[in-house]
Amino acid sequence: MLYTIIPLEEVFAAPPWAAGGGDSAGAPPLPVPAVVGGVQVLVSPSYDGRNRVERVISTDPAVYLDPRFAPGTLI
Amino acid sequence: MIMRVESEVGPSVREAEVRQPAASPIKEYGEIATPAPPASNIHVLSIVGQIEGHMVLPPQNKTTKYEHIMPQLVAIEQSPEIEGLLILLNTVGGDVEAGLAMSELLAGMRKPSVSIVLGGGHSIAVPIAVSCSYSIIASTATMTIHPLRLSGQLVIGTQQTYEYLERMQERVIKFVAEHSRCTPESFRELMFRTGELLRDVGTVLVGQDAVDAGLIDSVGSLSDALDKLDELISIRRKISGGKDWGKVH
Repeated sequence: MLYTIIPLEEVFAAPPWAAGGGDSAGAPPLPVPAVVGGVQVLVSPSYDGRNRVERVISTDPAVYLDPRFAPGTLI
Repeated sequence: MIMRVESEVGPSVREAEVRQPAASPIKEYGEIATPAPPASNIHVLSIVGQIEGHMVLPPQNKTTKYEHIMPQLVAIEQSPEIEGLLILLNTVGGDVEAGLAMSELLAGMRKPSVSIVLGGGHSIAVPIAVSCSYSIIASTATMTIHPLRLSGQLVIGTQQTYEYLERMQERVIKFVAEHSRCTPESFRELMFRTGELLRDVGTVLVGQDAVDAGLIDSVGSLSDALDKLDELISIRRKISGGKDWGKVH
């Protein structure tokens, strides 16, 4: 059960690429969890086979200063 | 990686195949690797977007997932290096049970925690904000307090659904009242106040309003939050004498 200020019809709306009743063909790839250097990150595959850092899942503030984990970095 | 270089200098260069090595920061960009910063005794947890619980939300929602947050809270409580926790809140709300679960974990921690509401801390973010040892709100941040709703139902159909909704709401009200200066009656009044929200009942509290309502301890910024956390950490050090960690709540 959700308790949010966003209208529920908006939360559960079809994503923009599937709004026309189409399939998930235009959907961007979902980021997948990975562990890099002991740090949990969410990555999505990039054009050249490497992975792009989308999000860091860490509570250690020092990790966010590490250039290896800056969002958009290819690993 | 093989790369073909097109050049107007001459035919010998035009067709050259250049092997491009992986860029080494010091050679290619004149950058040097920065030394690792000293380990911080404060850890930071940001709770952003929708709080995602029992249901995976469609991908257009930015979410914070309870399966990430809850084990991290346990790890922080257990870690001998970490002495305090800062919670950054900028969330539109989300799953009631996930929000209450995080709030209960935060409230049950022995280590001091400070929450800071930035931008927005709406709906289920209210119990999370009040669950910490101390809560701060940025002067421009807002908190919306409104009743719970069932998805896709504009009219409560049966007595059972009404009672279920009422009980869920009661859980939120009870937690907030127990962990803040706001009474259940005044929180309920904020929830059902009319005339403040367009098309809905509820209240929007901006900065100082949340303090006046008794929900948040003070208006402040990042430095205020860190100062408060340092203060709570030193109190706890004194109580514990470095051995038994006394509860600072």
